[in-house]
This record gives sequence, C-alpha cells and structure tokens, in this order.
Amino acid sequence: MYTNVMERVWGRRDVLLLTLPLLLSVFLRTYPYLLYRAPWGTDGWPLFHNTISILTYSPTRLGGNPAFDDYNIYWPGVSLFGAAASVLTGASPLTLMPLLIPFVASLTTFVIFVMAYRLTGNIFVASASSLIFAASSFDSIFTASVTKETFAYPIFAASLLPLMRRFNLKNLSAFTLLSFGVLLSHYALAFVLFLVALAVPTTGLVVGLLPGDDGLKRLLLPAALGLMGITYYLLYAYPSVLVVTLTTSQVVSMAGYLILSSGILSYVMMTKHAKSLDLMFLLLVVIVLGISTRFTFAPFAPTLTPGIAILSVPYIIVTILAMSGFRIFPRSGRSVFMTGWLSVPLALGGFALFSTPEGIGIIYRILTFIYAPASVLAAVALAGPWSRLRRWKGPLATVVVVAVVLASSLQSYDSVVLHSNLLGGQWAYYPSDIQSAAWTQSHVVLNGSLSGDARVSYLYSGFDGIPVHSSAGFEFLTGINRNLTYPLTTYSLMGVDGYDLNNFGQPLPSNWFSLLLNNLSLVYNNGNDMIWS
Amino acid sequence: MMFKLSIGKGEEFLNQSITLGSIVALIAGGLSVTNLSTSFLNVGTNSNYAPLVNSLSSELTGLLFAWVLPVTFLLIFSSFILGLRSGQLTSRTHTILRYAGSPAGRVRQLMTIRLLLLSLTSWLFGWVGGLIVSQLAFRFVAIATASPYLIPFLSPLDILVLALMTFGSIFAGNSVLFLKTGSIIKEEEVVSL
Repeated sequence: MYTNVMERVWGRRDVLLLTLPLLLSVFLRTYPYLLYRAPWGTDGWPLFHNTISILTYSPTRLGGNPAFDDYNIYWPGVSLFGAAASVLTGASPLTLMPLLIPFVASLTTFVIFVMAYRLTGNIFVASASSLIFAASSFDSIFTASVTKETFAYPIFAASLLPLMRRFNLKNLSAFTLLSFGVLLSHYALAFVLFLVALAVPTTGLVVGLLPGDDGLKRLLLPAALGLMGITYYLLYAYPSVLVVTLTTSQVVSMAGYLILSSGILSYVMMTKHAKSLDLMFLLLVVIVLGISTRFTFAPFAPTLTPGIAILSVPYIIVTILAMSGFRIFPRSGRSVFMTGWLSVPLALGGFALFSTPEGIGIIYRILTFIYAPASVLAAVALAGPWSRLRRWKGPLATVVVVAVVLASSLQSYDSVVLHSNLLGGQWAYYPSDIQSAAWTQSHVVLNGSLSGDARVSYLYSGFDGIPVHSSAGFEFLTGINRNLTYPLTTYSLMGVDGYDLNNFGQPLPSNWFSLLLNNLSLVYNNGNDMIWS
Repeated sequence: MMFKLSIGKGEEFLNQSITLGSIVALIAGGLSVTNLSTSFLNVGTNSNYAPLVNSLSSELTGLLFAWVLPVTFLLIFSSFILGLRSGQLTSRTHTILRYAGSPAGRVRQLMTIRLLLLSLTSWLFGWVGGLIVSQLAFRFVAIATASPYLIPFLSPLDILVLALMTFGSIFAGNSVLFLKTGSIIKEEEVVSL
C-alpha cells in the first residue's frame, strides 16, 4: 500500500493531480491582495510594523524593546522571515509580505498531499484531500492574510510527517528542528503540536498498535518540544501577554475532552463498531448548526443566516465522508497517527465550545486543524471499496470532490468580493485606508487617540501606533452614549458590514451616517475613510 | 499476555468498566456543579441571579451530601456484585493456570492487575463523562433559558478524591473475593502436597 513519493515514477496525470490543488491553493490565498492592492486581513498590521522595525533598528534586541509590540515580537518567526525576504528581494515588507506569506501558507496543501500519499499510497486520495483542504473557506480566507498562524501552519503540518514514521534519530532531529520553527512562530500551534505528538504514541501504546519499544521512544518527540517550549518561555517569552491562558480547572477540562475524543476514536478504530456514534456526532453538528440559526450558541457568536447555514453543506458532506473513511482506514500504525491527529483538534473544539466562557475566539481557528485530517479521511472514503458502484465510483467521486471544492470556494468569493459579514468580509483593506492612517499619524489629533472599530484599530494602532478605543465609537453610533470623547474613523465598508467588534460586524442603526453628519464635523475624507470630530 | 489474561473477556470487562464509570460520573457531575455554584458565590459577583444561585447552591450542597453516602455505598455494592460476577468469569482461567503449574501468587497478581485496570478505566471514564455531560447540559440550558453560561468544573483535588474513592471502593468491594480466592488457593496447595 505504501509507496514513497520520491520512488514513484510520475506520469503526466500524476503531475496534474499534484498541480491542481497547489494552483487552487495559491490562487485562493493570493487573489484578495491582488484584487485590492492592500494587505488582506486585520492581524497582519502589527506584524508589518515589527518587520519594518527589525529592518530599521537591526541589530537590536527584540523582546522588551518599545520599537516592537509586547505580544507578537515574542513569537517572531513571521516577522524575521519577512525581514529576511525583504532584504533578499529589496521589496518593502508592506508590498512583499501580503503576497509571500499567503504563498507560504498555500504550501500546507502540498504537505497535506504528501501526508495523504504516505498514509494511503493512493494518488487520487492525495489529490482529492489536498483539493478539499485547499478550497476550505476557513483556511483559505484566514491564510490569505498575514498572521503568525498563516506562517506557522505549513511548518506545523510538516512537523507531523516525522510522527507518521517509526522512531529514529533522523526523525527526532527533523521533528525538533521543525517544531522549533513552529514554537518561534506561534505558541498556540506549538501547544497543539505538542498534544498531537503526545496523543499518537499514547494512543498507540494503549491500543497496542505500536510496538512497545517504538511507542515509548516516540514519547521523546513531545518531550523534546515540551522542553524547548518551557526553555523558550522562561528565557525569552515570559513577558509576553498570552492571548490564551488556562486555569488549573480548565486544564482538567481540556484533559477530559482529550481523553474522551481519543477514547472514542480509538474504540471506533479498533472495533469498527458503534455506528450510532457517527449518527450522534452528525446529529450534534446539525443541532448546533440549527440552534445557531435561531439563537446565539456561544458568547459573541453570531446568529447564522440561513444562507450561511446552507453554505456549510459541503462541510457536512465532508464530515459524513470522513466518518466513513475512518471506518475504512485499515488498523495499523498509520491509523494510530490519524486518531492522534484528529482527536486533538476535536477535543480542543469541544473544550472551546463547552469549557470556556468566550470559546468562540478559539473555535473558529480550530476548524482548519480538524478539516485537514477530515479531508484525508473523506478522500479515503471516496476511494473506498464501494463494490456495488465499481463502474460509477470514479466519476461519482470526481463529481463529489468538484462539488465540494466549488461550494467551498464560493465562500471565499462571498467573503472577499461580496464582503459577507460573517465570513470576514470586512478584512478587505484598500490603499486609501493606509493613506488615512498615515495622514492621522502625521496630524496630532487629541493626544493621538481615536475611536474606531476593530478593523480601524488593527491598522491605526497595530501599524501606526495610534491608540484606538473601539467601544466608544459603537456606543456613539448606536445612541448608547451621545458624547464622543475621541475623533471617530469610519469607512465605506461599515455601511455594508456594520461596526466590526468581536470578529464580525455589529449592525448599526439605519440613520448612523446622518447622525454623524448632523452632530459631528468632518475632519478628513478620502472617499473611503472619514474622520469625524 | 499478562494483561489479556487478567482482563479476560473484553466485552465483560468493558461492561463492568462502563457500569462503575457511570456511578463515578454521577459523583463527578455532582461535584462539578457544586464547584460552580460555590465559586460563583465566592467571587462575589453582584448579580440579579445571586439569590437564585445562593438557594441553588445550598440545595446542591445538601443534595451532594445526601448523595455522596448512598452513591459511595452503591459504588462499593456494585463493585462487590461485579466482583462476584468477575470471579465467576475468571475462575475458569485461574483454575487452568493453577493446573498448568502457575504459582499461587500469580493468580492474585492477575486479580490485582484486573482490579487496577478496572479502577483506572472506571475513574477515567467516570470523571471525564460526568464533567463533560454536566458542561454540555449547562450550555444547552443556558441557551434554552437565555441565562449566562456558567461552566461546571473539577479541580485537580476533586480528581484525586474521585481516584481515591474509585480505587478504594473497587478494591474494598472485591476484597472478599480476593481473600476467598486466596483461601481456595491455599486449600488447593494443601491438597496438592
């Protein structure tokens, strides 16, 4: 079953099967920038600032230096990479990084291709799974922006490759090197990697599918990462403001979800029984989705529109296929790896949803980690032994993959071109936004403070260092508070998506613009951005 | 081999583990909900829900105390009954082992391993199940009643207490069988001499 990628003689069809997902991946992650000629996404602005500061002040100290922020610089992988690339190419970080980092992110698709091929030895499975993953909206929309996670994800995925193989010094060295890259780039991803590296040998030892000696030796991999993580934090990153922190009772809850998901998946993997569990899981997904169209399921979560609920159909199809694929997947060391790879993000999803008060901030980031193994399993199901459909299997599987890919890609279009609010439509920046921020920085406005939504805050505060108060503007525009302390920045997309707070736009009253016209004076206007005082 | 011999029939072992785990889950669920109400009050949150939570907390604390004793008895009694059943199921294996020339201590060793595994799985699935079911229930109730979401939780100390309770009661519940098996082995040894 197993064939090494390098050993295979590649035909024209095979090259096409590899190229298609790669092209799709690169296109979906780079077209937002090419369309608007400005960086896509909010999270990139502090990273651009740090990169420019590295280029300006080097050689210099990174942590505890006021030239940088007090969070992102402690995980400086993307900024260091951006600075190095900028020196090599001579292009400015603001021009280079919005194109280069999403391109790097699209290499995750290539790693998924290699992983699926190593796991199954089937090029169709490798191509289908990487196509399904490349088109997924939560990955393609998010990784079209410059974030720490965008840069870290392909390294994270590559770090999983040594976990699939027997323990030896070569694998340990490769894992240590790659996982240090993840640690340097994103602490939460390093934590997820640690859990996966721990889950694989633990599951293997419990179910007896890894030889005792190999299973025990594999525990050295998470031990190495854990040791590096603790050392890195104690020596360098301890002053960092951690966005995700855990209390002891939350650690207990997280351990509970990890034990539950690993236990259930191991049971299904070993016995291939309990088909009712599949139905229960699917029912839970449908119930959560159904509830979300009527009620706020978690604090700060939006109430979904029926349109968005319909757009989730391809993911439900992939979920059903993945469950089927998991049962088809032969019991072996590789199925132990699949169990570990899948159980950790599933457990973190459950933990985020049910064990944290504001879990929504984590859950939308976890979907992409669940979807990577799910897309491999879905492709396994499509290539499965459907003996009754032997004649139709190939065309049917192709139709399903194309339908899922098209439907998922449509969400990227809905977000990037149509600015759909709940799909991150307000992440579109224009060159005029950058101009307005630069103008504001050069004009001292009331001690340099402004009010504006999260989209404004990331650019003005993260890139130009102007303090922005997000709630003040919302309170004024919705009539909660009639006194505006700081000048307010608005932009034309606000009329489409509302006031961006807590990950998506909050609706504004229909007369919000006339409220501004009647009560405030316009200080700056470039046709897109307006500053009111 | 040792594990397989001590576990015996996997399905029977799983059934016993799930039965005992369900009882541990009841205790864990009760503990997690009580923790929630006490922590809510300890924080001193000024809320309209305070009187409701206050009364709920005292009710729950009372309920927990009223629960702990019978549930622990239930745990010991269940493990005793299950121990007897387990003895029935494994006695054949033990007899074969004895006739095959295994030393007497080996049978006790197998029983100890079985009890340890049973305690470990019951404890693990018990606290995990109890905690997660209570969190799921609270989340859905919070949605249904549009009330703030309060999260039931367990502290590491609770996990330790549950471990002591589970391991203790399972070993206590099976002690009669353990001693009885020992005496049978001694009689057999006398006969063989």
